[in-house]
Amino acid sequence: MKEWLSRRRARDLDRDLRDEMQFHLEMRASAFEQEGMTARESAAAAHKRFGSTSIAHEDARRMHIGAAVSLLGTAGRELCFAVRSLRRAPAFTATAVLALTLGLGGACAVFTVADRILFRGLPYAQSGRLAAVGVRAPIADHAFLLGGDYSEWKEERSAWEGITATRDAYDCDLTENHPVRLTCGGVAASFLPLFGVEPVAGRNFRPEEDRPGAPGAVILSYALWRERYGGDPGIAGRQVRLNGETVPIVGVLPAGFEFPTLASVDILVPLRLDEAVERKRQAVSMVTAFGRLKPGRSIDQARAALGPYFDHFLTTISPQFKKEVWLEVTPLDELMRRNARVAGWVLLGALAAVLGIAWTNVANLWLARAASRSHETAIRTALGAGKGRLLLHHAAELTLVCGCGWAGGLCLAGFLLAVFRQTAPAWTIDLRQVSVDARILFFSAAVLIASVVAFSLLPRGSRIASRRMRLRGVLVAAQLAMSVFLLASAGLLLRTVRELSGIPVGVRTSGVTTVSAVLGLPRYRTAADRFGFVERLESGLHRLPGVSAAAVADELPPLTAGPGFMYGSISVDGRPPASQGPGGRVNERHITSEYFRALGIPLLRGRPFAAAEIDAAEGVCILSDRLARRLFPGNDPLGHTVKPTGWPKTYKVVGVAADAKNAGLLAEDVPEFYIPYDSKQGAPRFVSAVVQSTVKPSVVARLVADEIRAVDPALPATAGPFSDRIARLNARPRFHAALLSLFAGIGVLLAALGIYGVLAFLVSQRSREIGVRMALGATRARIAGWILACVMRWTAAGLALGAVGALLAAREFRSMLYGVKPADPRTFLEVLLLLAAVSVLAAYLPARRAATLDPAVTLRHD
Amino acid sequence: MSQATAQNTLDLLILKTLARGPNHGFGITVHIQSASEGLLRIEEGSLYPALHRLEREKAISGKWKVSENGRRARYYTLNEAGRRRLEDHQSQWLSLSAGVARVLEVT
Repeated sequence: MKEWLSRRRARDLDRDLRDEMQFHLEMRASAFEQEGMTARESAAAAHKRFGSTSIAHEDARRMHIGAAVSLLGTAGRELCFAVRSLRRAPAFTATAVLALTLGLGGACAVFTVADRILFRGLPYAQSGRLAAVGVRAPIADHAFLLGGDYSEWKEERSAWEGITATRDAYDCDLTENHPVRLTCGGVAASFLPLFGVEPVAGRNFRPEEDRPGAPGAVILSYALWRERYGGDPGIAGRQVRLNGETVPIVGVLPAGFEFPTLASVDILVPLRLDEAVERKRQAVSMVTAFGRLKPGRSIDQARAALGPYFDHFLTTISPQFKKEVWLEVTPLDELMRRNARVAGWVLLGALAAVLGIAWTNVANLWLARAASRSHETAIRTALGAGKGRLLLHHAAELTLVCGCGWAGGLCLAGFLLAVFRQTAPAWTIDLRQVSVDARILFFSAAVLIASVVAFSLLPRGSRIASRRMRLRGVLVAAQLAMSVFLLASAGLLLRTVRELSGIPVGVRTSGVTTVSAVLGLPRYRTAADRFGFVERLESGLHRLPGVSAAAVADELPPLTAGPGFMYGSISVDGRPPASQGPGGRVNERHITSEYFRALGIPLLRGRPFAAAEIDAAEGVCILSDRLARRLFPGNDPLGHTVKPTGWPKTYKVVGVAADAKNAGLLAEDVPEFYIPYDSKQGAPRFVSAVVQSTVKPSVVARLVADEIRAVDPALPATAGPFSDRIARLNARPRFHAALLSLFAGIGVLLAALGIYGVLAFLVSQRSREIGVRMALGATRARIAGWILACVMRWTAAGLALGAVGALLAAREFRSMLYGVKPADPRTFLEVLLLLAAVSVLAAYLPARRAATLDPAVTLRHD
Repeated sequence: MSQATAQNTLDLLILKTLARGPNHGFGITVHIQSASEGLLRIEEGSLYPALHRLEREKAISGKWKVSENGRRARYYTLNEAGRRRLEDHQSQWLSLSAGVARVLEVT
């Protein structure tokens, strides 16, 4: 209110002052007129005699209004003035705002992602003291503990505050009126307190709920609570049907919770480990253990404290197994982020480069603008505008431009993050919750304020045009150098993706649809129940239109199926296994007879299972090529029999199948042991069907899902094209390559814009010089060559610098590359050629304009 | 002349002119010029800042009135504070100029 009043007063004052001086001028003019001047002469003379009305106005005004208010009013006026003057320079304004929008939008979006990967702590209290604990062995790809050992290890109290256990996440079904497939994770009652996670509603599991045979209880994830139960605060105590059992909900997890194995878990269930039985090794289950270090204890001390426990564990296992196990104690942070860390730094580098290019672009444009209006500045100075006033005016323009760029950048960042959320591979890092937040607002605002200050202080006043030009050449070179880094990184990653896609997966993916379900309901308690389901499903699939092959298996490539068994436990033709250690893991896969045909896996020898061999008393098996070569080096495996120790049946080898990827793209394939479904013991709960069909995949997916529903309406199933599963194998490098390509694109666009802007300005500034040169006989080709030489000098400097920088950077992210060296000459050559072409192209228009200048016109001008 | 002395001199001339009765800016310049028989000519650009400063210092007050030729003009009137200031400045000035004149006469 007060401000409004003072502004109003200021407006009245301005009008009064104007009227007052106007009156004076008119009186003076009429006095002159009486002395015999004409009306025009007298008015001019009156003005001349008065001097600058605006200075008098400003001075008189200052007498009334305090300096601060005057400055505020001045700032407001400057802002209005800036709007007007920017509107008169639409090309500058649009280019600068666009550059800032692209640079800042991209940077903010990537910062959000990199921030989560690099800087944000894990969502647990004092996560620095948490560590994964356990035994590593070739049989599992992460540390584990046997149930009995866990019950002993968790008593360690010298270096550990506590040790808790989880079970690997597994598929489970919510079998209520809208059945859904969910992911369940088993945790000990001590898990949430040890990780410092408080349920947002309800409570944690009670110790008595974590005992064998205790009535069930579940804790919901925040997302499931919100989506399925509308965030009902009184949810605790409500009953749900999980895998056909009725269990009460006891609590809800907080929004940011992450399962420590990064699996996205919907429901927590108690571990219910029977410790007494496990200790006697009457039952053996594998758990994933995590511990919290006591304050002040180092990871090495914690490892040493577990030494005696590990030694005791070694005494309980067979001597051949001992050689291949070791104790693992890894800080949780390292475990969860280690894959993403390098990627995070590369993204951060890309961010800096894009921001740098955008920034230099605006700096360059700003220098050009300052130079092109040195005329205007001179006039304003002559009219009495002080140095501070001019600085204020420039700051006002910059604030407007940067403010628009900021707003645009934030919108772009929001959009890009929405795209990332859709495309990021889920298990890389949890991006589901990322959005533009306070940190980003702060980060971007800080960048902008720094920019406004820095741009205002740029040496606009430099009278020496050549020095100014040199500065701008340096800026262009810097842009190109950063573009080299961006393009080379993107190029290397794209080549990596191409190399990865070129790796033969060993299965046919086109026209193949898959569907998977879990037989967790009580009605599938026995193997015979599950076998019946598989049979009904398989025959149903064969009836679908356009089906050329259909099969059911417990799991499909690129995943392995069950826990598998040790290679060292296989006895061949009744001979006991050679005792050369466990020899790594073999994967067993239950399949129906058309499995190989449906997936296009070639049978190298023998034949597929015959219908009569499914569920037959006599066992038959098909070996993967890798397993066959190892078990029968140089011999024909057909007709021999094999038997893993502890298995009830002996299996006759009837075929050898080609290897298919089953342990990720880069890891060595796990040997496969294919056996038919069996109604006595061999019918796992996990069921995946695969259909080879000529009908459109989306249609087949629906038909296949319908088929499962026809067999069991209460069973949730997920269907989709097989290629999706395979694409997931290189989803992470693809995501990184896509991100970097986006930035490289933005960077190159901005760099081209920068070169064009600088040259266009150069030509318009020097049109007189060009005119003189032409008048003195320089040919058009000579002029164009002069401009191009200018560009090539900057380009060469920028490219050389960028190439060195990119080489150094690429060495740092070697671990993200596959099949391509960090200093891949082809990638670098392509990048350098592309950028050289871009800079010549950007120089083309200005050079042509320079060459077609008419000397007669340019020389007469001004 | 230093700026302070110039400002004081201008203030004195303005206040003295207004002591004869309310007047507008243009009238003040005309009066000073004619009273000094053309010897003094006010810098018109600095007149208005000075008027507004004096107004803010409450030495004079300005009001819009209709002038003798029917135009709207801002008339300034001497206040009590202005009158006191005029007396002070006037005696200072007279003693200063008398002093200066004597020094000049001596040589």
